Amino acid sequence: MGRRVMPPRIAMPVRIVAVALLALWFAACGNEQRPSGALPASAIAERIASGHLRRHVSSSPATLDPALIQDVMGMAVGSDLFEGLLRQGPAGQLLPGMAERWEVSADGMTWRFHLREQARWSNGDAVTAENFVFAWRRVVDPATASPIAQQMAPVAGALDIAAGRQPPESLGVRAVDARTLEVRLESPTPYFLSLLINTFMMPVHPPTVQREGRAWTQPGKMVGNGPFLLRAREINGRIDLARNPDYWDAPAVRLQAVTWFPLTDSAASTARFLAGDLDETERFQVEDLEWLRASLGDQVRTAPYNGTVMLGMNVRRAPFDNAALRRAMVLAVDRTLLTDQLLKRLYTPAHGIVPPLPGYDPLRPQWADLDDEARRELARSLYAQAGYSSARPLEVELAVPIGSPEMRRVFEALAAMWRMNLGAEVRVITEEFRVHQQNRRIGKLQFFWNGWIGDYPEATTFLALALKSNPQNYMGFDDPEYERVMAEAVRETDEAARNLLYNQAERLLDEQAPFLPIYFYQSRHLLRSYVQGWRDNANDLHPSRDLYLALAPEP
Amino acid sequence: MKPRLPWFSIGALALLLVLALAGPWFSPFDYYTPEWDQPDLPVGASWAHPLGTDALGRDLFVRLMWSCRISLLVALVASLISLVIGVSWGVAAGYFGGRTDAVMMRLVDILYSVPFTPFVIVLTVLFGRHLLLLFVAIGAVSWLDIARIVRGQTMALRHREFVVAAEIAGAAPWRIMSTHIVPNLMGIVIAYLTLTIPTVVLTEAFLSYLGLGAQSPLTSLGVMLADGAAQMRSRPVMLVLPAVLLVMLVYCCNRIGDALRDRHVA
Repeated sequence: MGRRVMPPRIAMPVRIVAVALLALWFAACGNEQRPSGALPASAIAERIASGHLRRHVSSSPATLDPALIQDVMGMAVGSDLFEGLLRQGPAGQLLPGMAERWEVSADGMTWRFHLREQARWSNGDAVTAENFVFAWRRVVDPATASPIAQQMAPVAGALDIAAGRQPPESLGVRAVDARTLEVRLESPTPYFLSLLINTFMMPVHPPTVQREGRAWTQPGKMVGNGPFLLRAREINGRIDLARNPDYWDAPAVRLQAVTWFPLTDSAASTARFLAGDLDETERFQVEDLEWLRASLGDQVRTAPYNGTVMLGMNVRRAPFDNAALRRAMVLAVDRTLLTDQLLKRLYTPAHGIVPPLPGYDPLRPQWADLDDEARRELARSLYAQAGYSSARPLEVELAVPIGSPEMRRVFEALAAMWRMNLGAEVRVITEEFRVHQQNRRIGKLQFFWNGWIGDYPEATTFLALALKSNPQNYMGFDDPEYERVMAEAVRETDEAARNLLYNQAERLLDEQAPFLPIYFYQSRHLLRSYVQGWRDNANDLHPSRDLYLALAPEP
Repeated sequence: MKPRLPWFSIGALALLLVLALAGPWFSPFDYYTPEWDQPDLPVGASWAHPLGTDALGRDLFVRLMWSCRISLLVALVASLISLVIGVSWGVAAGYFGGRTDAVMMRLVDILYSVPFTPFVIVLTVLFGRHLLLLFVAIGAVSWLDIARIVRGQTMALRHREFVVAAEIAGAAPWRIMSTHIVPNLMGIVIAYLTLTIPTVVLTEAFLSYLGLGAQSPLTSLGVMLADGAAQMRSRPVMLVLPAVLLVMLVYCCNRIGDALRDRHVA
């Protein structure tokens, strides 16, 4: 017989009273559960006086080395620490950064940037054109093994150097003198200036990088040229930045300090925002949208974000080597139902892979304007044309990374749509994120998650995904006509003519359907009302430089 | 004096089993087809949907019952696998003793130290996602406890008169183990089995919560919990219902297992 410890005897009335009190207490807590979202005035005054902004980032950046940053988290923090030739203004506009002016040759192939005299590193050294040459060569040098060397492609020679066919010194960039940088391009690249705000185009301080090796990005060692300095960093934890007094435009920087808190769980970041521990959060759960709006009002910010939620189909392998089947899968998705009924009207349906961009209207395919039943009927006829029927249904696995409950729900809804509209059996299998990336890269997957955030507000950042030479073309899509149209578009200098070519490329993608576009992203932030200077923008990049703490925005 | 049987737990567990097995038959809905011709989702409670629907428009009651079915199925199969491995291993180690015992039990110690979650992730990477794999993975890990207990009991039985008598009579070790030792272990083994089931239910829930277990649209308590946790604030019932079921299931099994063990050991 096991020993049992008896609970001390408590008289019945005492117990009843205790339980009742407990219940009351819980009920009281329940009432507090609906937060008004407002902080006490004293807390706000304290926050404003501190000049310290506490921001959220969805996970700890893998690196803070501009040559190696490939995630949006690194981009966010990196933009506070370094500054390229141009910088992104609060509304997403391009503003002069290290370069105070620039000119382009008549053929659009050669750019000259004039660096500003006050441009300084945080140790007092001048930022020179040589620093840019060093940094850019470093990105494409195979010895650096930068995961984003391909992005340098518009600069003459970049791809050959990245592939090890040419020495890094052959890169099309040259320091004419200490303050003049000349860049030669492969072809006239209309979006070249928007590339320059990316972290991989930012300069590094050569003596520091050479002396410290991989350790140069550590606090105390890092030398930067951005509005903030790296003060301290915990592994997978907070990143503390302080104002950089040597920054060329230091008087314009209003914040004294910035701390980035990496939190993967967006429920946790929302809770910390409500508790007053964070002034800004990146992303919250779509399920929470309604009650957050009710309790926080305009502290909830949603805005179009330059990205597309989509899937990819491997055109080299059965069953998706059949274009009719791919199209059937695309057309069988009830996009409006998904975005409006299941996702709280947060997103807009995507009928192509390019979101609406400043100066570019994406192609709207004919089927987008069919009513639901006609579209489903068309999908069914394509499905039959591909040789499938209820007697011989399509059975396929859709591989997706382990993600948020919201994404899981989207995939379940998609599977249900294919089953109900076509009779196709799609099994959704989740994979650990790195495993998924690996499987996708080696072409092991037939049908997979292929969401994409644009690197710059221009259609090529999306359309290039289907080019044969792109390592991120996981679909194995290879269409000579598409290559031709895209090559022509890159050479075209007239915007209207180029947009027509982009539309033509989009039409080819719609007909061949290597992608399955679903909806366009929306950025979603919680932002305290005392954080000023924030402007929603399609890059969803909000450098701390332009933010400040005040009760009301200043004119 | 033998402790009383926990009739409340037995009754609750039986009710849950009957509901899980028979419940979905009484509903015209299945666990995977959403109902989308609704003006607004999720649909609240009604006669057609006694608990309403989830955010995708699938009947919540049917899904809950299916999640109990799957969780219990995984628990039963995995526990049986662990039972078979654990008992054979433990009896062999306990009966032969000496060096065999040392080697076998050190192996158990080593397996104890293998971290479970990475182990399952590696398995899923190697063999892909399948419910069967979940059974094997959990079963292959949870036999260790049973093996230790069975070994201890076997060592105690090993030198009892009837075993010695069988040995003198010339019975082969295999025969002694199967006819004399294992039947005498059954009581404690069954008691531990009822204690393994709730552990496995929890493990399954944990794996499914991480997205490593049951794959959609199939559901289990872990999947329901993960889904509910995301809507904790907007729709707490989605978290509360599967949580209550899980707690009930685990509590009842534990209670019954405790009582069986006490009766047996007493």
